[in-house]
Amino acid sequence: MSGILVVEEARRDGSARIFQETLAAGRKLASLTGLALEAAAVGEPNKNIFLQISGPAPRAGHAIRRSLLEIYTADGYVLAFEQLIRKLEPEYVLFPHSYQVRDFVPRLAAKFGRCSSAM
Amino acid sequence: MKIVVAIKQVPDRDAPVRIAANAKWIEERELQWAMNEPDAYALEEALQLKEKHGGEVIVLSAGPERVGSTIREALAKGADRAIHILSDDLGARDALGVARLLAAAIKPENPDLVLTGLQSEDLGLGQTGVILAELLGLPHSTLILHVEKTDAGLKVKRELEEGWFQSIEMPLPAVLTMQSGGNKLRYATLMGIKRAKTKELRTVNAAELGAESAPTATLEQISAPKKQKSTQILGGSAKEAAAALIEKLKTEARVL
Repeated sequence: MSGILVVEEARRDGSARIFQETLAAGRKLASLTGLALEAAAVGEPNKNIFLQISGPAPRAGHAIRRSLLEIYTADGYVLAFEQLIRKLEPEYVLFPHSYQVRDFVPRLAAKFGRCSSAM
Repeated sequence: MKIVVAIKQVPDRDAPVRIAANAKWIEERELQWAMNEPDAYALEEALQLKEKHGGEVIVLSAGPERVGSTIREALAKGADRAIHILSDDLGARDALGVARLLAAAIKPENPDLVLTGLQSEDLGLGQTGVILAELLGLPHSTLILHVEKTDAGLKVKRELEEGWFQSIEMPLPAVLTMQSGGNKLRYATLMGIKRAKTKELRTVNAAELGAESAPTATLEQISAPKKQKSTQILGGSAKEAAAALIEKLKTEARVL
């Protein structure tokens, strides 16, 4: 893909406002850049956040299914999202600014020789 | 246990902060400096682990000459020796660049544990420790309030959102970023201050470490928060005004 990837990093039961805000930021960035928006989440595609997205649907949704990711670990999530990002090659990746994201995204960005921009 | 504690010197909380003329950083002249508070908690945790299990605590800090005073403070509190990465252009490096410098200095030490604060009080990025773990190829955990050594490695208590905590077991060597408030900070004793003068403080020029310095992110501009008071009159019936108020509290003030 050449676009914007918005990630729901936590396995939440419902649609979290923090993810909706990230999605809104992704839509704004998409309108500024003309790039397409896609979403990604950890979990089963029929149970995860994709079913609860309000507003215009992203071009595609990517579900990362792996039993080892059922419980969050920084190294597991870094490995999973590194593989996804290398496969999709997005221009921008947006994560919610949660404690969990702060726990692993700087490491994920460093794998690509980059720094993440926070807040 | 050999523990490296990465500390940062930051502007003192009570120091008057003025934006520099180029608006890219603050005016550093006449500023008072102090040890970054979360780093002080990292140092305290390291000293307590050493007191319980033995070993060595090495303090590591990067920055210009003035950083030496904060390093001496850490030595006075009980650290065994220190490494000062002398760098006058630290502000031009991003978190990855700073972490590369720290990692280059840490690698030859081959420590069992690397501790640092979860974020600095000046930039507040909260990234250096996590990136450091990646560069060192070590497991990490953030927002740590308590560390306990076990036969298999470490058991740590993490702070989560909304008042939740998490307990994690992890192997050594590892990198931890410490949250403030988990311990009571110690003061340097007079004896400690005297002893600090004789402890090893090795200075290494940043250029000697060979770490790449070209930033992937640059700080373009800083600005002070705008202080403004404004009053809005919500019109309509009491019911309509209440509904508008709720909406504003939810979407603008974000307190609901």
